[in-house]
Amino acid sequence: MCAIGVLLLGASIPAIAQSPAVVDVGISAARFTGDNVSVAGPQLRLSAAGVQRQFFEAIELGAMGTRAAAIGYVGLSAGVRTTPVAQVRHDIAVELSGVGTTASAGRAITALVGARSVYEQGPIGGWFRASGQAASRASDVFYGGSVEAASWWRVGRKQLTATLMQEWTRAALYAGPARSRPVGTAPVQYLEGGMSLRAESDAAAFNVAVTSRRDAGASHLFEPSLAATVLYWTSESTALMLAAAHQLPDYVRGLDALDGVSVGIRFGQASPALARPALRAAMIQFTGTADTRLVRIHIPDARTVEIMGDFTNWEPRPTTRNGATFESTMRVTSGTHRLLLRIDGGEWRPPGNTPAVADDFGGRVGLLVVP
Amino acid sequence: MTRLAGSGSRVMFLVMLAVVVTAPRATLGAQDFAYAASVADLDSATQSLLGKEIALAHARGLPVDPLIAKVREGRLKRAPGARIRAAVERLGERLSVAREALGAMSTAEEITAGADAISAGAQAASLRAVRAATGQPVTAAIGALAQLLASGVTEQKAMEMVLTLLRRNAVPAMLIALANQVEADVATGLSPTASAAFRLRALENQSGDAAATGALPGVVNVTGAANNGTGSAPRRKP
Repeated sequence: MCAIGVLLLGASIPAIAQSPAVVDVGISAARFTGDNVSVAGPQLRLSAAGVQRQFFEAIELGAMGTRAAAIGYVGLSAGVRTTPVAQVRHDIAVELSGVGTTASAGRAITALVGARSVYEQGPIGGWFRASGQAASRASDVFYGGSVEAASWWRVGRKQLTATLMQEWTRAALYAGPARSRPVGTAPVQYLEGGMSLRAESDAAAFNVAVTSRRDAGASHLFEPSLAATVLYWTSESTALMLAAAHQLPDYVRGLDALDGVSVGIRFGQASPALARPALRAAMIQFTGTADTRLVRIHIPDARTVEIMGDFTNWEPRPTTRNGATFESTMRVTSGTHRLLLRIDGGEWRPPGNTPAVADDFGGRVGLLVVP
Repeated sequence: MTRLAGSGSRVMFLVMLAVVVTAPRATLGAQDFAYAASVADLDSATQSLLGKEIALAHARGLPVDPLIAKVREGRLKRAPGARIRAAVERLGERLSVAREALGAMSTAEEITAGADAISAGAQAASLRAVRAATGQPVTAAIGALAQLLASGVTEQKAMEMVLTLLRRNAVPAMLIALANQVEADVATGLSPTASAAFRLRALENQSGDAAATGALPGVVNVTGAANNGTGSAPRRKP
């Protein structure tokens, strides 16, 4: 399964090359509690997501373990979302996932279609989601569905999220110490409530999620789960990672219950200090005449803003802060110009209120017309 | 004999290259310094080829400032020499096509805007159509066309919008404001097609004088290129 994961890794990157990929490399140890099987060894994981106007897509794949016992997984999703109206937007997404493991019999492939309505008003929001899925297991196809409601609350750089979910599906029944002998199927229905907290500083991020599942068919009526991840950035896009989880079985996607811990390095994820300004759109405005054009860049909460373009001979120019606006005076002739902005020392990006065009070097620049 | 012939050819090549590169550049004046600063840390072969490309563009009457800026941009983005050369060649081609489409009397700003429009997906025929639609300078009109295309509006629809405004003697700020408003619509989630249709309908429903005086419906902030995205973006009807 390791090999499958690695092959998929190589085959899938070009499809989403326009969005930055995050790669985790580390060592993991996991105990599949349903089978009493333990796996320990190297872990490789890749994830990437992209958004292009109304469309979004994501990929996640990876593998861990040794030749003796291993698990590999791949997930692809894509969808379309509507324009927000009265703080409400809707999205529809399809998801295809596959899981294979040597720790239990068979492999799982799941196709899922979900629709979600999201409400967001400042720091508070929530969503309602309904989905249906077809799950291929060893020799059967199970159909099921789920409904989920959630709400979140952001305070500063912390976000608290509460979720409540009901799922219906079926599960294959296996007998034997390694669950290697299929003996039938059984319906699965459970209610799960959870809370998660995400907190971050400029160089560290902490995520913890706890859930409680009420499942009449499980060995205990109520079962808890816990997942926690700590990231500490040692550079702009490289972080040390520590993760631990007590995970309940995912009957929809075919992931077994496990207790696991992993340590490693995450490459490609911008530190919170860099990612924070990237989420905000800087609005640029030029006024005045060609010789003394005043450039105003509006972006709340930024500490520094730099500008460069053909009119600066592509030399970065600092700006002066004036409240939520950063200003500079420079010579900008009438006509079309190409430019980029850098917020708080992050990546150079086109302004939020100009269309972007290819820069002939594999990147994008903002295209501006000055009267 | 063979060795001597080989050396002679090499010397001749270097002499010719020096003449080609240095002679036209001697007429560039202040641009020469900008170019020299841009290529100072490139290898000599790339410097020579870039110099030749820029000198050729100058000799053909094309604006060379965009080419020099492209070299500088490539250096700043740490692009390898071959990629900078390719980028400068492509820009030179776009400038050449734009100049041919807009006419020999075009200004440097018009040609540069034309090259940007081509970069955004415009055809030379569209540039010719814009030039034919007005006797006024077309920098803003072509710049607006470039922005509309970069925002995702189809070329046919973008041309309809630009030509409609030109027919109504719109001032440059109006053309630019229209393009900015479409970009703002798109940024808020509206599709480029829907935004263009809405904006075009608004243009067609207004009087001819309104565009010239600045009363463009649904367009805000016409004094410059700014648009904060919170303007009067249309909302979809279910």
